[in-house]
Amino acid sequence: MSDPAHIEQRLLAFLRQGIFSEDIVVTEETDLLANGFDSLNLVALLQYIEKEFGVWLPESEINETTLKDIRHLAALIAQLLHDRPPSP
Amino acid sequence: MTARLPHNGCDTLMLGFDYELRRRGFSGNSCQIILEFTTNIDADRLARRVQSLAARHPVLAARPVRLWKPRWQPTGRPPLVRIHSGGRRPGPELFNEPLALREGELIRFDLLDRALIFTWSHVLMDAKSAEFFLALVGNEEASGPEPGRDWYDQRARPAGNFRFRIRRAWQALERLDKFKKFLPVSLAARRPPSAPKTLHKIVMLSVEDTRRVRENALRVCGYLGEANFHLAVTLVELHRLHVRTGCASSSYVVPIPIGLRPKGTHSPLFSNQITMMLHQFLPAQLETVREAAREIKSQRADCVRDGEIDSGITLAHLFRALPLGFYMRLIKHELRGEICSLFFGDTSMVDPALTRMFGVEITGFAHLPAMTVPPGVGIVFYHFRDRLQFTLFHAQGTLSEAEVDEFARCLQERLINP
Repeated sequence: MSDPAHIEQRLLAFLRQGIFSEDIVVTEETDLLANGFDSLNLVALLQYIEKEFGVWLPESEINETTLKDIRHLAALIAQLLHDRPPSP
Repeated sequence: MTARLPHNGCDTLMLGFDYELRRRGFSGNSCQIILEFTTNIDADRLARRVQSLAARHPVLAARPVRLWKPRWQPTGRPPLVRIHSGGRRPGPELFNEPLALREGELIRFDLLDRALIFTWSHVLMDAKSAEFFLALVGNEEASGPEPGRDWYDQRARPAGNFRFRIRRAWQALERLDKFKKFLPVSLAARRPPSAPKTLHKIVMLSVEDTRRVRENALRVCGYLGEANFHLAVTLVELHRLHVRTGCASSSYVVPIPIGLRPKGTHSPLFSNQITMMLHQFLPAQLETVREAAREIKSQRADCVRDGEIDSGITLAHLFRALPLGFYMRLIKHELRGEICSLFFGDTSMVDPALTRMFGVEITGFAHLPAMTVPPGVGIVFYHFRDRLQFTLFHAQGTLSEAEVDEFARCLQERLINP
């Protein structure tokens, strides 16, 4: 679940299907912001992450670095999953 | 050819607004972009370029046909490029001169002394498309995307079968139904226009103030929250304006434009790929910018979670073959004759390709939008050359010149010191 490569693939599938045009090739290193990723896309992405991985990204963690590309975002999610206290 | 040029739900919504404005004597749902240059651009080159693009894209000179198959019907009438001499400057008379929509006049160019006014019908395309199109006009080497089927696709139409779309459209009416408890009263409802004219005031912040506004936006609304911050400030000041002018309202209903065009592409270019998501705010939620921002965020998140984003457009799509008067009556029915309290837009950064035109540097840029009456007032934010700008627009008589100046001053101050 917290394997970054696995998270990357899930995020890529979501972004390719729901956010980005079929005209562009979205990879783990595509610059999201340079390709028009906006605040509403962010809301949709945050809700997807919560639904799929069970974590909500804190506002303080959302910045230019984490949203740079899928790789950075997946690393953050993996870290949050790793740091999450085990459920009782 | 005509089968390839259908209207989508967004186009229908814009046609509805055009109908509503013309019915009241206004020039219609036309917008303008004003460009200012260091020197004059070549009028012949501009005319040749416009003719060439119009020949390549017949939708640029097409009239809207409705009834059973709503679509664009190309007329072949070339777009107008007018040259004004004698040092004429951009002004309200040029904005309030209607486009002959029914005859297929969808775009017009007015060349003035070191300035160009591009007028376009919002029925044809949204503001981001208009910026990209202008960049295309000004660069003869750019061929632009192929005018294939994709250009005229109805992409903004939501997927799903008829039953799904009915359910989605019903969500839009249910949402309006919730607003009834605190019915909004717009400025134009209390103070009807004295003349069917739209007036604009353009405000430009300095680079330093723009930087401060960005910092405030980050602090109040988080990363990528700049547009939400502009909206929150506008809402707080709109409420104060209503109180100042003796037009207090139980609530403020604001349609927030949402881009539906997939990211990473400009196509379909000649098409409206936006939807309007209606939000309602109570006066108690507009005491401070932070409270307003919190409410915007919460309502936006709910809309995304509940899949309501394109419900209004789905409704418009289902009604696209019906008479526009009927459609507009339906829109206004739920809010007892009101459409909203204010038109808000935020087009963010001006298209980066729009820096030169035929090699001449663009030194000034402004958006001049249209709005329906009611509400008779609107605002659009945009960034050009590292400076935040906003255009306030209102129906003549709905606000006095002093009230517009005061509104603009308060907005500017609150953007800098929220």
